[in-house]
Amino acid sequence: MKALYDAGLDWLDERLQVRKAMEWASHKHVPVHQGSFFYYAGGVCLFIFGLQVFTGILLLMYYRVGADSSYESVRYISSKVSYGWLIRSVHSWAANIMVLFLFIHMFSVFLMKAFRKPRELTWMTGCGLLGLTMAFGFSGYLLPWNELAFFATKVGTDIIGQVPVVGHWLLKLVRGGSEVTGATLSRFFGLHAAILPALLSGLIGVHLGFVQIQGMAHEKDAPKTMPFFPNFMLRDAALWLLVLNAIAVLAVFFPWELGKKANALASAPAGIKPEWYFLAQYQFLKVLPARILLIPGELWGIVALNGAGVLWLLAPFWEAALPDSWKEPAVRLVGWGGLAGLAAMTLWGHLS
Amino acid sequence: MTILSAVLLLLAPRANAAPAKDQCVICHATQGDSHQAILKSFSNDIHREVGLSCSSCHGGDSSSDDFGKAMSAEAGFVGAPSKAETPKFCGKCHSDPAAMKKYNPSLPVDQVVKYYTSVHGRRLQAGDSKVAVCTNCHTAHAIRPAKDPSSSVYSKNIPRTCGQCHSDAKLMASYKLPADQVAKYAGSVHGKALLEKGDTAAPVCNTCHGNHGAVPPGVENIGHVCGMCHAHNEEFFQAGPMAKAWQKRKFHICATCHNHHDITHPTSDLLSSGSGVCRKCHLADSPQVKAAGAMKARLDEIEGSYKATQAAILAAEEKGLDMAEARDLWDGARMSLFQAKTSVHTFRPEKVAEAAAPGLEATGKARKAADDAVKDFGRRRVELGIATLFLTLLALGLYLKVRDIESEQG
Repeated sequence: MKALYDAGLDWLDERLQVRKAMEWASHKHVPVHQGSFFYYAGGVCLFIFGLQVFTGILLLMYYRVGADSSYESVRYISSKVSYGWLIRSVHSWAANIMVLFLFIHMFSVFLMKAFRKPRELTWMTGCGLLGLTMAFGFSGYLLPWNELAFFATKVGTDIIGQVPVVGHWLLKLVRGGSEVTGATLSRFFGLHAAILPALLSGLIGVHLGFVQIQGMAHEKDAPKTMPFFPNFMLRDAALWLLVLNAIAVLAVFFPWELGKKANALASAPAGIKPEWYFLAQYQFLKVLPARILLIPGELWGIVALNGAGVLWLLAPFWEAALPDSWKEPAVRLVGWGGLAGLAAMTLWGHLS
Repeated sequence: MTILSAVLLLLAPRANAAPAKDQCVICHATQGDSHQAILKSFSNDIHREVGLSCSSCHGGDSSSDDFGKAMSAEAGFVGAPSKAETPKFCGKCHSDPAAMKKYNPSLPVDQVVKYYTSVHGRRLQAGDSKVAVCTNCHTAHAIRPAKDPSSSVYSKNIPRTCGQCHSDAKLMASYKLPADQVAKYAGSVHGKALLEKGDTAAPVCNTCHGNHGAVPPGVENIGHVCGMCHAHNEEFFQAGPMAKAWQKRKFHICATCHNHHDITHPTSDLLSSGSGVCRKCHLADSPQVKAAGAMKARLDEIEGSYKATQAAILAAEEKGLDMAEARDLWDGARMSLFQAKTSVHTFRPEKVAEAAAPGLEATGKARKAADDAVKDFGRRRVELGIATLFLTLLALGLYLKVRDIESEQG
């Protein structure tokens, strides 16, 4: 067996220099400490992205975009295609689990201060990956063209229209017209199935490239380390299998509902809310007064949310500029405060 | 109270401004409680809203503060009409197309003429002052349009309005009429729809008995009024074998089996060979009762299948399974169920079976789809169990491999 393995490796090495790659990989180490578990979150995101590409391609075999065909084709996938219900449910559940792990990954990186020099660009590409993933979620949510998706998209894109000066133009650009119609659906489909996958794949490559170049943060100051390959990689793979299993359990016991077909003339269903990962922002905008200092409250809200986003993106720079004694408390305050704020607003939005 | 009534009336919104100072209001506001009650009611009256005032109906000079002059015959004062005078009193405007065109062109102007064709109107002309006139139903000074929920003639309020007299046992006894119609109606399928479910499309007293005339427009005989809504039932009945016998015996076309005011939701029990309505005339072993039994069997079959299918679909949906197609089939069967029930009025079992057949086929398919989906759900769980076992073993294998590697690495 060993001889066969070595022969295969030799064959590959002659053609692809795999031994060189293995030699390089053997030098990569992962710090081992109390928070090591959080290092697996990024890998889970990568695995789920692969799962989304796989299930997404399968869904593409039957999905037909259009106001007259989207809902019908998703219904067909769910009820007629062999294991179509499973693929669709896995795709929907996995999307949510991916966002959850992205948040875990991002907050753990922030609180471990792994964004510090020289990893500023790794942090910023990570923020970009979160933004693209949320755009994936928002655009994919509309594709079944059901009642909830229609009204959630209507409310969500309405917010874009509030942007001063260019709001109306942006709204038309996103919707493909002044209302949510079949044109919006085609646009979102193009975004979801072509533009975003290309952007996300590229940015993941850059993000991982940066991680490889810089190595892991705390590699030097951790009490001990473990080789990335094969120790960490095999642990990663075991976790991926467990995550896949969890998604399968959710898909079987809680199949993703389709509901009623979108009807622009119908009144919005009661208690309509966006997906949980947009709920905090939605709730924040909802509770603002109609006007603050004669300016619409929603506009203040949009400015505040964008401001918070920029502050978050530029964390490596403002944190570096703080006096040394302020750095630790500032990271803790912003990290835990941001997490608590998001959780509280999400819960409030869910309960109200 | 006095000042409040006057203020209410003077401040009430009006389309056309009445004289700036309505002396009728000013004087009557200082009179007794009954005067003030009238002023308070009138402040919300539709006539007030369109700009009419006391003198518009009662005559007189509303601009004069001289009691004698304002209410003099010279000033055209006619006072309050007697009951016998009331229809013509209201008809001064309501029977005048020119006057009605000014205020409400959509309102008919034949109410008074129709009223005199009704039992109420005919009795009034014969000198009976106990019968209802315009004000008994519409009130005298709190008149609201029939579509206004606060109106005494709004559909949900009509049973109470008619019941003022028709539930008065003493009054009805003098006409040898029962006084339980409103109570019976309230417990009927129509009454429950209107009074409990708030379905204002449900028929109420005047839907069958007419508004001002004796029967609703287009209905030759009150017996045919049910056919206004239940058109197919009447059509099948009239074309069927029972119509002639009904006419000969002067039976009410519908009420003979379904009752008058206490019409309950019809079930197949009406066709029961033991206590069904057919037994009122036919013997238990007669071919007619046997035909009724055959029709009941078909109705029970489709109704049972319809309910069983609904339960099967709900059971599948509770598991999160998509049952849209089964629901479409089930909805189609609902139409078939109605048609089968309607076909009972042909009194021909084969017609009922014919109407029920598509529904039975549809419910059969829908139930099979639902049952298959539930079975499939069970299969999914078994497959998930196998996949879980496989994935867990694989993950465990990987973990053991890592342990193995790490022990080698020391």
